[in-house]
Amino acid sequence: MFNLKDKKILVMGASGYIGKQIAITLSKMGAKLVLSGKNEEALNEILLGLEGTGHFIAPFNVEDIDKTANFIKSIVSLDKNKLFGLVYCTGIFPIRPLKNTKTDFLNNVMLINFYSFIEIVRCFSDKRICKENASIVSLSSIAATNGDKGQLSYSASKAAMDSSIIVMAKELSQKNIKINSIKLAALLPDEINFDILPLAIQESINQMKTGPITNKSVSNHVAYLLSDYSGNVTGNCFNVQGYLK
Amino acid sequence: MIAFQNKKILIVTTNNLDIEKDIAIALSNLGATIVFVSSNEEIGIKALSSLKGNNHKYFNLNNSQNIDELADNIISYDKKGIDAYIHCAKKETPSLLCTENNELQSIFNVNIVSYLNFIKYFSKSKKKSSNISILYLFSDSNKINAAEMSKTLSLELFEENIKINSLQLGEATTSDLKEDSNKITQNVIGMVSYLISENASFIVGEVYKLK
Amino acid sequence: MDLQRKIELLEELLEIDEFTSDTLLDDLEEWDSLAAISYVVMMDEEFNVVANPNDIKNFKTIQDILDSMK
Repeated sequence: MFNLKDKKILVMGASGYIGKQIAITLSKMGAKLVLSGKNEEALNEILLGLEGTGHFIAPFNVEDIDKTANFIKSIVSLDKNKLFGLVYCTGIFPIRPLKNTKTDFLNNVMLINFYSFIEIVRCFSDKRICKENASIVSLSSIAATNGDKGQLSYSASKAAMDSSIIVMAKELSQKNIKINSIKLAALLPDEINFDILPLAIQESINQMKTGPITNKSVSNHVAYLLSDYSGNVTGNCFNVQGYLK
Repeated sequence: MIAFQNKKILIVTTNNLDIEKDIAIALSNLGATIVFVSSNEEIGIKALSSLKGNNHKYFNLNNSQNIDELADNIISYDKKGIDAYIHCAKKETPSLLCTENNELQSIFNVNIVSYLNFIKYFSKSKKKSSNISILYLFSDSNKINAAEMSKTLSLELFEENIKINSLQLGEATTSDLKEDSNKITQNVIGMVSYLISENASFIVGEVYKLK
Repeated sequence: MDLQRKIELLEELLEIDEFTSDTLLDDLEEWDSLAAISYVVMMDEEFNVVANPNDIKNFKTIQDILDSMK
């Protein structure tokens, strides 16, 4: 589909529903993956399911944000190759009303969903770390501009991510690095049973005339944004809503 | 690589063929059969000759009585439905308030009404491909446009497996270097071919903007 | 936890202090889906318990909620 032969790509949040499928899809297109997440065991399992060779795992807890710089350097040291791509799928999506969104809680969500994203991009975009024409793709959400009740901290973190991408795109274009996000509406991973989803999300999915977005669809879009096919398209937050309201 | 083998792609535009020609060349290189519709026959036929392969066809926008007749010709010349339709809303409006009525009507017709009529015809045609992907191309200077209709249209047509998206192209400025304008063209070609391909079947009713 | 403290927690959750143990939840406009989520958070923070959505659906009175707080 898209040619990503020998491109070294770091996937943050590779053990999540979306990250895992993205890693598998990219490996099928020839990429060399570095899988990162909190759970080393889970990462090893995913490693076994990848196509091709030359992949690595690099467990890391994004909450240890001060260790990010060393973490990113260690990724280059794995095989002495600079990185070509970064896919940021790390994130938590808690449901908590305003009443319970105290500062500590909000801080923690911002730390994982936004602060660590910025720190990782900041370290990644160092010329000693990434190649020219590098590409960064992050997963945002429709919640960034239209969150539901209970999604306060999640929406705020995604809005921060999207607005920062517009600025970073302008700054990074000098280094020929492109950065985009994909704003998903409700995603239905293959492994999740529709019936156990919260009602509001079930409703969103039912309104999606095209059917829910699957991990595979998102993976294709990520691959497109990583590949030469997308040229130097940058600073975009691509809506992928599927449902038609 | 995205493949368009055996896919029939309709490109509707007005006089000159700038980006449309580049898009057509790229798509024909990927195996597509191109049907060009424009109002300048000389330029149109010349563009056809630069395409790879020889099944491509040109129709003059002005030769038919109405869109239905033209659309019918487009389907019946090879008895195949179209798989993708790219409508280039090329009519510009430097100033909305200083445009004469006649001109306003013409702009609406070229940028919006003819587009809707083509879609109506293809959605009702008996020779229909299983999936039709429609892309509406426009830029800043095409202030009268149907970009925001892509969601509504997709909603009306999703049962027919017809999906519609809009793509706003950035304006190339005169200060752009030649190599920059090449990159811009590549960006457009990449995005257009991606959006009308099966890879992007889940992208429906969106309005994207290329900077 | 004593009853007084439990009532305080409920007053904070519902933002009202006029209820009795017999008050019907259906009569309380404050007991909505967001309150249910706040209840889950409270159970987690105060009692280290993961509340069951089915139990919450079955609450009819304030007393039912108080009984669950352990």
